[in-house]
Amino acid sequence: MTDDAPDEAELALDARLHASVHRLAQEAPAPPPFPAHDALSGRNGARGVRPRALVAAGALVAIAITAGALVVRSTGDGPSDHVRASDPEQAETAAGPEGDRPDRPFFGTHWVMVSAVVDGAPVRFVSGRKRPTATFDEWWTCPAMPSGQHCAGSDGPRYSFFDGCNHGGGTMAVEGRIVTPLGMGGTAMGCTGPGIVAPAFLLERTPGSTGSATFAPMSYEISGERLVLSAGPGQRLTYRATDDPFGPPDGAVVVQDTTATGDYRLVWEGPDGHTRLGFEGKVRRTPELRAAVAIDPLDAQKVHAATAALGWEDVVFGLVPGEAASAVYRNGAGLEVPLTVTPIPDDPTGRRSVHAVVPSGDASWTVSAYDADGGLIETFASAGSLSGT
Amino acid sequence: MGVMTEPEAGERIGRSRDAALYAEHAARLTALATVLAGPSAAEDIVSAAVLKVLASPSWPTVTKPGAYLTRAVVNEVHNNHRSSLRRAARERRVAGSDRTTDGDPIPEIMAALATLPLRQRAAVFLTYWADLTPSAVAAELGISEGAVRKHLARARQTLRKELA
Repeated sequence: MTDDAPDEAELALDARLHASVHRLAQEAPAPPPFPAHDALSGRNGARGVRPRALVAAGALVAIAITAGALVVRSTGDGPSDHVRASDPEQAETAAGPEGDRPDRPFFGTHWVMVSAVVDGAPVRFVSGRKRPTATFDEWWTCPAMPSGQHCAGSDGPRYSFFDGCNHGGGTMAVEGRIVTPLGMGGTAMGCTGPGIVAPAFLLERTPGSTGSATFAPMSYEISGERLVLSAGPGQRLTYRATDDPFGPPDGAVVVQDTTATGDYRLVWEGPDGHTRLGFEGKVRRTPELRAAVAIDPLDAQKVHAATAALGWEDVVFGLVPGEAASAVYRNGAGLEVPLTVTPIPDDPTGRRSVHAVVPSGDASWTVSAYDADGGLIETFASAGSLSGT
Repeated sequence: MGVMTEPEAGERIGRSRDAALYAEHAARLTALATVLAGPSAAEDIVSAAVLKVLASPSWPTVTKPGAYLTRAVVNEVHNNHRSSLRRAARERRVAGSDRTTDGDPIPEIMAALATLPLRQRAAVFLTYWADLTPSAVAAELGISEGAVRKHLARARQTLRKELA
């Protein structure tokens, strides 16, 4: 053999590489169809299933107490400048390089949709719009309810989702890696536009029925941080795990907590002239927007506190003067709930935030703030309901 | 029937061209995505890459759409699916290690291919599947010919160890 002659080992490697690459390529599935016109033009809002079984109600709510006005936003319809889109790419970056991470658990993980193929066509997502999410609970138990109220759910496996517009969820059956929704309730915001997809695309209507529906079983597969839900050819949702169910906040997160019925956080935005304490809630049950406000008797435009429904619990939150050391919520039945007082970063006026989980649906309540010596600083009284605003 | 406006007509022509281009390259892109990230992720990758390409304002002015689509798929894998094939590689290693005769694929090489850095894997695919020369691979990936040769040499070095 001369120096110029091909090395036998190299030739063998070439042959094997050639064969291996071709063998790998043979495993390729059929190419996906060319994106449908509506997927490109942003007119695929109809992909979001709007089952009649959905009940009209509030959804993820964002309520902000500002220096001079109360702002209530339902973040269900389109992008919000208050609750910013949860960007899966950002979430991925925040999570660091994926590497060979262990598989995330299917149950209990917050999943954010990264891509979807519905009816054989890929779905387009709009930058800046909140991505659909899903969460699956292996076993969910009705929490203890305040006196006089009953838990509307039933114990068992549950799923909840945000489809890019509406929140919803229901019970489900689990068999191995197959989950089958057994029912669904949720909000019915009339969103339009692209990027609205829920596991509810698996809903199969019974022709001629009066609202009854069946759900297709869906298989799930997890690979590291990635979840793929599939209901057969051309029906596939791909999610990525996220540790932040809300997505990036617009301001500083003052409080983030979870109750039996949902996650919530208070976000402070300031001090740029638009300072406000915002409430963002994510429910895991049929949500209901209900917020009563306490208005300064001397200035009807100045709001100090509000309640927001989080499932069947309410969260009261508000702003109190900086000298406040404690605060108490009192409802019409005489129940007293101490509020957590939290300093607000960068508030030029030195105010503090107060919050607590309180009984659901109190129509009449007060919040009183006290100084370190127990002296009353001020009291705010509720002034009605915001429902329908 | 309504009268089609000029922009509408242009959009229709553009879509028709895009669809034809996609039909021409879809199988190759899906094979590429399969080699880069595994068959289960391939469809998602191609879908996402094509949507991004079509939404790009520079797409109508692209002169080499095939290469542009190739790079979009590689970028999509880089951004979202890097670990897929490594996982598949582990599974292959566990699944079996029967060596076969020269020229036949062997599980070790297929698994090792999966562990190569993304650009090396892409260079290997374009070289051994698409039978492109290093200069053509360079044009496809938007890198220099020297870089392609370097990627291929390193890939072969890694794979050679698998045969040792």
